[in-house]
Amino acid sequence: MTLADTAQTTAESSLGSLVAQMANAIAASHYPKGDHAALRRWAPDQAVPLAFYRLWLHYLAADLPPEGQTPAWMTLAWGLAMLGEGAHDPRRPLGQALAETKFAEGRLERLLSAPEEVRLKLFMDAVRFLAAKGESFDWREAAQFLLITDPAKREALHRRIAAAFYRHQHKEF
Amino acid sequence: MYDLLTDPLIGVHTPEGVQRVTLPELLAGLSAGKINGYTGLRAHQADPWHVFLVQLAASIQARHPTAALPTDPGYWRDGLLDLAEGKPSAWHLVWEEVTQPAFMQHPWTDTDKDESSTFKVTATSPDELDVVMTARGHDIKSARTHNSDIEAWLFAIVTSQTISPYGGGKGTIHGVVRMNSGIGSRCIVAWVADPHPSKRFIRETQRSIRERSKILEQGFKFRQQGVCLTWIKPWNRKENQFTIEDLEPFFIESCRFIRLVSTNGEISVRRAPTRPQVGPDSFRNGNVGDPWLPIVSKTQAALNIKAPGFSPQIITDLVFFNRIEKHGFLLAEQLDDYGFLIGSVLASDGNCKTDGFYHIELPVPPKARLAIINKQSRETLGHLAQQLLADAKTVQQILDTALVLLSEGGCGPEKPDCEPEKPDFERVKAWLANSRKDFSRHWEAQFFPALWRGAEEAPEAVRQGWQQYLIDGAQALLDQAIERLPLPANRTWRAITQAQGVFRAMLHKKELLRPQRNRIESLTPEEATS
Repeated sequence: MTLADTAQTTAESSLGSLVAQMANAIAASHYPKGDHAALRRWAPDQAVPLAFYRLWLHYLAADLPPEGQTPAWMTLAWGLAMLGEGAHDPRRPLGQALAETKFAEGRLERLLSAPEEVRLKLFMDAVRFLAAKGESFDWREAAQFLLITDPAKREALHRRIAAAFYRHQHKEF
Repeated sequence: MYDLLTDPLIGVHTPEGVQRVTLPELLAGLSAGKINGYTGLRAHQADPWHVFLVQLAASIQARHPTAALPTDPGYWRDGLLDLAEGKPSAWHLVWEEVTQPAFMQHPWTDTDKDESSTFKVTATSPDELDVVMTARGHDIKSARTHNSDIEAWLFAIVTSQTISPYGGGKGTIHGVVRMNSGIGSRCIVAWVADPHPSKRFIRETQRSIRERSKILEQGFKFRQQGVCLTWIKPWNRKENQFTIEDLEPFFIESCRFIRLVSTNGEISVRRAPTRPQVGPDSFRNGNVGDPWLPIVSKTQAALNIKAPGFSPQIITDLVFFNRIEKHGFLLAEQLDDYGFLIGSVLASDGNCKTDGFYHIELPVPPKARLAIINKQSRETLGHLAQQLLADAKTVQQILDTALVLLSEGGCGPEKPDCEPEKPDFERVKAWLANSRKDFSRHWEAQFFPALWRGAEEAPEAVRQGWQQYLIDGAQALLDQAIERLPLPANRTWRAITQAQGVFRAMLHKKELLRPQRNRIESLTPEEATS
């Protein structure tokens, strides 16, 4: 394994483990119901609830994310709370989950082509759709979807989500 | 007027600086190795002019052999006059007595004089005379050279009379015989040790003297000493002027019946309709022993090159004699002959239109020269060349499929209810054509460097590197297409995914490598936003 590969793996695992920790913390039986409800009630135009800071500082025992990333991490916390226990399945890509729940192709097109200002809202709509069907998926991809800002990296991620979506959608025909 | 034998009409670069010289002085200067270049010769005129000079020199040498090419202009002047059978007007660019020949212009008969008012004025400036139909292909605007530029008239008439194809005119405007039929194109191709004008002239003249003997033995029925300058004899225009039996191997064609006329100091060109100059008509496959003209083995006819000119496939055929006869200047005599493969052609579309001028100057590295000259390694390299070409073709097809799928919005057989997008079809079609050209440019530029590496490295390693280069290039073009092609708004991601999917799947099916693309990196929260 080269040094670059090691760095890559470390980078992936650091985000992956953070997402996994957050999913486990929110799904844990001892996680306060009040905090759980506060996370689920959050909407993008509202202030970040105290439950979010408590999640980071107390349950994850980590430093708070940079201020610019707070909405993205809050959205992740909201989504994990929405889906509840078993929300995070690292072996099931987001595209696959959307395809298998018959998420409309047009909606996926809009989600992946969305301008910055509605990106978060459309992602939340997709999460609500999956939550309504009790689906789980790989939340690392969700984290990447919300956190990556570099156009080339974002494009590559979109391709990966779309590829998984169409690959599993085609099983229908 | 404007006597090539005595008037210094030709601008040249010499070690002493720029000079103007006569034609005999030019031949002497070339023989002495003192001509470094020309001041007024255009790119597309260079090879026809070179061939013209070598044919002249070799024909003079055949009549008056010398140990080395003479550096005395007197020798060449006498030789030129001798070729013209003592008619000095044959070397004048403009000669008012029309019953006498002028340079590359036939003498008129009494009938011609009577009919001269019906002769068409075809040019009033040099580049209107110069293979006129090539103007768009040469990227030069016609009528840019001035009427009074005599040197430009000289080069234009040589080019026109030496490489003109069939020009229509209801079957009355014919081209040269050194091409496969009237709708073909005359290629000029040779291995050249050094493209320096003087060095190339000396080497090819010396080789031409030997080639001339071979051509005479080959049963073309040329005469040892026949007509060399075809314009010195009258031509009734209603019949072929010559058969091969009248001519000698390096006969210099003057394929069209034209005359430069000077009126009040202004030169214009008049042209009359004719039969083809060299007959019979059944004899039009171009195979007349010309050492610069490649011959196709199967048909024994001259190679006809169309746009886009010297493709890697054609060059490979020439270098390794795939379907091409081992003949003329495609056969090197010494190792250093394989320095450069130089070629030019005025491509014809077969419809009285030309399709551009194409030129190659392909340098060959020393190790590759050794591989080419050795029979066994030449075959190995030739085989590798075919494999590299086949790989390029395969990846091109894969890319084409992916691009078409992309442009149609990702509609494939698995989605029968999906109607392919057809808005702006012409634009998309043009875009696809450009993408194909981009890919061709991408690999053609690297084809020969990759091939020559095969002379030093294991062919398998070269091929693997080549395939990776092709695949990465195709992936980059596909990515570019995804960014730029106007995709249907409601199917963007379907189109992207399907195109990418089919691209990868076809690579896999053909047992080719995957593209080396950057994966998503730096996925730490901090780095993701950097």
